[in-house]
Amino acid sequence: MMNREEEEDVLCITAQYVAEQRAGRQPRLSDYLLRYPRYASAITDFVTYYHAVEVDILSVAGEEVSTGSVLPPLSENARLALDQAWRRVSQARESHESQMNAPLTIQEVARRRQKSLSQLAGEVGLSVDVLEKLARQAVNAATIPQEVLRRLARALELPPDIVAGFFSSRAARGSAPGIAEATAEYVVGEQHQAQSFREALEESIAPSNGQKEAWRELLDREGL
Amino acid sequence: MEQQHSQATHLSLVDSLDEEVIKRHAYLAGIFEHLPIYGSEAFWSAIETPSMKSALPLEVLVKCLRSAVSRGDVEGRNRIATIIIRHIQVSNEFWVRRVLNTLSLRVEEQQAFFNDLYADLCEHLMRMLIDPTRLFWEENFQHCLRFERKHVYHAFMVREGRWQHSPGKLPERIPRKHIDSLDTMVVHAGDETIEFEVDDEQARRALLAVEYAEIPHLVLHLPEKLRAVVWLIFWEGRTETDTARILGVSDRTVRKRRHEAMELLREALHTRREEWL
Repeated sequence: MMNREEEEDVLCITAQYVAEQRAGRQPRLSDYLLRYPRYASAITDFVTYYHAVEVDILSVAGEEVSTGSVLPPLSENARLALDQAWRRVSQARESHESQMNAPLTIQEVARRRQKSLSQLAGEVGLSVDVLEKLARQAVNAATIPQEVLRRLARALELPPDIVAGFFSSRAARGSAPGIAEATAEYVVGEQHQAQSFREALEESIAPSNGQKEAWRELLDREGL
Repeated sequence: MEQQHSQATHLSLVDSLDEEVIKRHAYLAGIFEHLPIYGSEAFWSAIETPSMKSALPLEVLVKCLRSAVSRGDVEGRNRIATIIIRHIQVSNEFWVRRVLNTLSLRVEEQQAFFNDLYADLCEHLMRMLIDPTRLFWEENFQHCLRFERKHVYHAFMVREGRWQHSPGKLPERIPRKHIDSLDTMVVHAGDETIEFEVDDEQARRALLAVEYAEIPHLVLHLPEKLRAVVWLIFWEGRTETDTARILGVSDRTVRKRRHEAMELLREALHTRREEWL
């Protein structure tokens, strides 16, 4: 099983093969196997598939497209497939989230993005202690401003709904009334133990008065 | 000498391809940087321009889609995904039909299989497109698309229990030299003698019916370790010794793999013949 880096290597190598082929240079598999013995199996696998299935698809399809200079409308087949694909993707995501109960943490993602917690805090405009409280779910998710989610999403290059998942499943429950009602008692019980974002901010000695003032204004604007 | 020359030529070709990749990367980055502000009217008209001539490269559309995802803009994400699918729907639908043509399907099965495979493909594509760590999609969309179709093809064939089956399509012909090697192959390896004979007329007709272009398809369905041996010997015309050197295995291993592959290919061709008759 290849890791992501190896997969990218194989993509680059086989892209060269295809580029040579498309330029009419008749590349040889043996040259590639000699040059990249580590990826011999993956290269052979792709090259065989390419010649069996793909080799002329782009030119055949390309001709169809270029006959008109206008982008074709979405075909009925494509619409059906796309609708089904989105349904499956969102179902899988929901099921993954419910099974794993927010498996990712801010620290893990920050590490993957090669950022320390303090770097991340700087980018988001929070102090490290407040961010650390957020990360260990010591802050009531319902009191976290949307602006924090947006800034974290930007800094971590993730969709805000995934970022919301970092702060416990309560945020998600809040946005789904049916489930929220069913779990109201549980949520209320936990909320007693968690601070509000405003309290965490006020308690921190790290942010300057100016920073605190900016966050207060934001909290007021969001009615929190 | 010839080998060295071939490798030197290959290296220079690869270098020139690398240069092209760098140029293309800079070109795509330039287009993305100069796009109008995300979500503005000008942005959407650049994304959704109906003119193929002024359409944004697919790699740039992927970046835009990921930008929509990181902003939590589901509607924007769907709009951009739809445009991407419109750009590639002709080749995708062609691909789905081609894959299904290799199976012997009843008429009433065809539409269901078509929908299923197309949805599988779109699902895989959407997963890749929304995953910001799949960076090569932002560099060479068409190649990533090929690769993803390969994964979907493999998963589909395995799921349908067709992976080791021979294709049902009736092809045209195979070059004589390939038929000969399949027909009466005798290998002497020390004390070991391996003999292949395809002596009945129907098998011969089935072999004659195999088109040269069909060889990759037959090889594709062979177990992984046998593919390179068959490819190098039958497609590139390499000797067993040469093949062994390239793969870093012994001559004997090559012979054994070739033997094993021939047996499987013969079975595949017999199945083809039965479907044909």
